[in-house]
Amino acid sequence: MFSTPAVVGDVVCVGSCAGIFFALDRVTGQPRDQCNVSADGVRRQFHGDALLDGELLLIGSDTDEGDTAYVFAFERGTAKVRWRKAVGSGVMSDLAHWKGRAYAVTVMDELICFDPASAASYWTYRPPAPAYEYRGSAPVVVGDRVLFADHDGTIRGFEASSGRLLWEAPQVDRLTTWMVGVDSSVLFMRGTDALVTVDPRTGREQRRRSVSGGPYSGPITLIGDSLLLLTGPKTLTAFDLERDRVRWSHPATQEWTSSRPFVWRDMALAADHGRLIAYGLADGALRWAHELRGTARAIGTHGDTLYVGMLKGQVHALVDSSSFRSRRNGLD
Amino acid sequence: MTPHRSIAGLMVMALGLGGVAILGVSAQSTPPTWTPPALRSPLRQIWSFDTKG
Repeated sequence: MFSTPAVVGDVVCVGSCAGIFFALDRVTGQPRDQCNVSADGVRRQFHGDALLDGELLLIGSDTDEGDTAYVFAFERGTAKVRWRKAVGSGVMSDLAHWKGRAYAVTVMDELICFDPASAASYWTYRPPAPAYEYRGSAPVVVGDRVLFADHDGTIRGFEASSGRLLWEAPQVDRLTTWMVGVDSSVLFMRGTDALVTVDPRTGREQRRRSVSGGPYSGPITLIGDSLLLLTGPKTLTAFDLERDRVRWSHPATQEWTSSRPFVWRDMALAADHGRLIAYGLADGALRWAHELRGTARAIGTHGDTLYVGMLKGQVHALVDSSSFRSRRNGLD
Repeated sequence: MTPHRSIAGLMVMALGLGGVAILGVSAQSTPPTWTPPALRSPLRQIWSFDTKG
């Protein structure tokens, strides 16, 4: 499982790598509802995170080259499909939204913009030579621009409302992470160790710093407006943009397996083979390590509880027993 | 070799082997799996569900 379990009211929504979308009871873990999106015999999987938009939960699915996958809109707290939108061989990454529009990047390097309420298309960008690649690249909206990076490392900037292509900025190396918007800039990791800032209005590189411990991969998590969490197989790093330096960094004892850096309270969470580990965001100090059987990929959070998605498909609900005890004893 | 000498020799050998073993352990890159009690997880599993995928 790659997709992060999402808590919607009293339900935990989970899209599995076997192509089944579950609505689990948050208290008991029992399925209240489920939907097999591969029921027609086409193997579809969920990899990106869900996007809650009003009464709908939107999530992309992907499949093999030549087959058709969809973006699905499930009714809030259920596994009932309100609509599905064909998106070629699919979307492996997160969706973005801006002013009543949703954006998705397909595995063929297309950027699509649609109405999240009805799935009606607003516009689509198709590259001159589309090619299937089984990896995700997510759109990012900054101001009134939407940007995405293709498989070859070219970033394109569009007018978010009309889809007009404004600029193209080929990079000297592929992006290894997704892009993240910070203030009026966009940041990403390129190559092994370059943290690059570009101007979303022009695509021009504004700044490049070196962050050791790479290559980093997948989404970058932004905390507040100045702390970036980066993760790769080897390293989990917190980079302080205000002070322009690495705040702390932890090499993996074996390999970081979590799909992205997760944040819970004042802690960064990451998983390696068999452990879930928490570090203080402020100082990187080890807070605790929780042993798990198997490999954790994605960690959803809600209040005192973590919902940990495992590589082989299990979801574990883990509650913070110390806060539970505190509440029971009337300590908070 | 007198018995004392042989015992002393064995002790030296044992200490030497022990040292090598300790050095061997400390040189390994095996990740630590033990954490001090204060750092133990406060988490308790309340349920688990298998999506089988």
